[in-house]
Amino acid sequence: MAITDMEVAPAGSGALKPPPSPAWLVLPGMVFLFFVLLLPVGWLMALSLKPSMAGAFSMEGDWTIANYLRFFSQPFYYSTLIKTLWVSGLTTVITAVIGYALALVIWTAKPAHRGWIVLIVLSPLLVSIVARTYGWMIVLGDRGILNQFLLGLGLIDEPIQIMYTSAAVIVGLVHVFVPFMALCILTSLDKIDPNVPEAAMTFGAGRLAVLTRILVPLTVPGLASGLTIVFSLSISSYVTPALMGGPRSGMLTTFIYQQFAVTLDWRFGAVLVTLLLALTLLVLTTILALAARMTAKWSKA
Amino acid sequence: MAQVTLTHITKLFPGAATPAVDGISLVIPKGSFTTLLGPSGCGKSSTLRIVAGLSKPDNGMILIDGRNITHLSAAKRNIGMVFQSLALFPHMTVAENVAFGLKMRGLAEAERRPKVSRALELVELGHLAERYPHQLSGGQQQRVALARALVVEPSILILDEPFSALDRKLRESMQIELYRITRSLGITAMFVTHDQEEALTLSDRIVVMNQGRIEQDGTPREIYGAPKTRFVAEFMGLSNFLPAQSRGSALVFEGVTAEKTMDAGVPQECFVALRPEGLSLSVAKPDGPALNGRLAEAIYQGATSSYTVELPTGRRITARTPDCGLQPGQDVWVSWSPDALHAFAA
Repeated sequence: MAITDMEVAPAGSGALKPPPSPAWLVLPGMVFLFFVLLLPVGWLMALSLKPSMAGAFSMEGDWTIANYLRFFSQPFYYSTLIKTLWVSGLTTVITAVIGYALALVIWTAKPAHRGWIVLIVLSPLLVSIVARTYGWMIVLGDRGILNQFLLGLGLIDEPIQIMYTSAAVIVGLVHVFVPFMALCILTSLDKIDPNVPEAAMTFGAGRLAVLTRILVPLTVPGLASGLTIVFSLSISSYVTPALMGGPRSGMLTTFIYQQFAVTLDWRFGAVLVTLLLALTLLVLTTILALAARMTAKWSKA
Repeated sequence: MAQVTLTHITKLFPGAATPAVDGISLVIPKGSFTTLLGPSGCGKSSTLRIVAGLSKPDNGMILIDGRNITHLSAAKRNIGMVFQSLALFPHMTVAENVAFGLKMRGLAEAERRPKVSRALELVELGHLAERYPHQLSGGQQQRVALARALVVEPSILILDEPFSALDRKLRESMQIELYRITRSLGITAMFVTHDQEEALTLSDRIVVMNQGRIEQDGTPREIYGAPKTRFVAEFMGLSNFLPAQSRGSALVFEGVTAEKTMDAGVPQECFVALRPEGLSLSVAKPDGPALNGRLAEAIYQGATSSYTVELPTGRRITARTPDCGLQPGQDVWVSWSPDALHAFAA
């Protein structure tokens, strides 16, 4: 019926209304995000430009960049930034290596085994973060399983401190984030025709060449989403560094918590929030831009 | 170019009741184009993958020019393979795709370049060297896959149903092109297809496979003109199977006796098949042996028409001849040219 109606209406008569743009559908989401994200974060960023004062939450005072100067002039402050970047960067890289290996295992597994392996890979997410962290304490503590093992073998004379160091934080974070990375990479691997790596083999490529010349370049999109997800989760993680890195973990997030909850210097805390946000955005856009450039020529979309 | 020998190749996939490949022995002479032909699941692709080194046989040996390569990895066999899905590298240009095998063999850029451009000229794609696979048409992608396999000067070119995704017209022109290229280069090639016309067009030799075994092995002329088993006959488009008795040099079926020189292997109780294209219909009784029946169906199909005749026994036979204006219900005589009649053990 609709077709006959259209044929009857003379062209350009305006008898048919253009359908409303689907862009309107994002409006409720935008309103929600404005009130719960943009407004409070914007308010915090503005607060960072007011003079530092314990217990001051309002917008009084002159505009100043004194808080930023304070942050960047004292090594105690800016070293947290460097350390945070280092720990979350290393976490992301280690997660990528382990996640890639796991994704390859899942990809090449028999279909019947696949579901089980995915379940095992997801298992860290099934345990509460607190239980998981205390579990790691049993393994990594001074009298923990790992130290007992090394002492028993006579490889070390006294326990090595692992808990409450950056190493413990990285172990804890990698453990939870591997599933995200593995599943992102798997999505990309699943788009590869299984004959493509086989073709590379028939043309003389060994396992390493298949991985570096075929699989990795073709999984750049999945790798990029895995890296961005894991990096932003690592850099903003709070519970794991607080529990496994100890009170002086030196991570930006624990430092932010102290400013807001202990010293009540919200205005200086707001500086840390702004810097964390800026740093995260910078790294994520870099990763995404690099990935887009690497795949722009050959990806169909 | 090289001779390839398969001896007693057997492959049983875990969980399968019968082997996918069941003791295949085959010699592919140097420079010959050999086709493995059979329905899906007959073991032809499994055999091909074993020759390529992508799958390990449970038993048997593969030799290239007398050298045992059974346990050599695919990367070290010096083969050129064209996959059913083509498996072009999507992130590489046409030139990079073609150069890949040379790069893996350690050739320097300066040595690769002339070889790549010669291979691309051979398939008439020189002007598209910098394109990416997704920017090419199906036929062009096909040629890239072929150039990529040829450029490494393989001991054997292996093609796994490479044309099955193309439409009929493109498929026919690619077949002719493949014929021209392989014959001009004198390449030893192993081809797999389930399409009997494609096999007849391309091959020096056809190996018909069924249930993991070789059913018949011969030139296209032998396979088409003298199928040895009912399976081969049916696969090569023979139909109209009728029960018969063989009596010396004659066959008796449907009450008619026809002279025929037969293989010694045909038993007394046997089957005959009449090739639909070798039959002719007439209203008047022709000279020589002929079957009488009632025309049940006449379907016009352009160059030929399909006529189904019901015999007095109730069996039906189909003839494909140029349109002769007969109407269903008419009483007709079916006669045959001598080479349209075949006899088999049941």
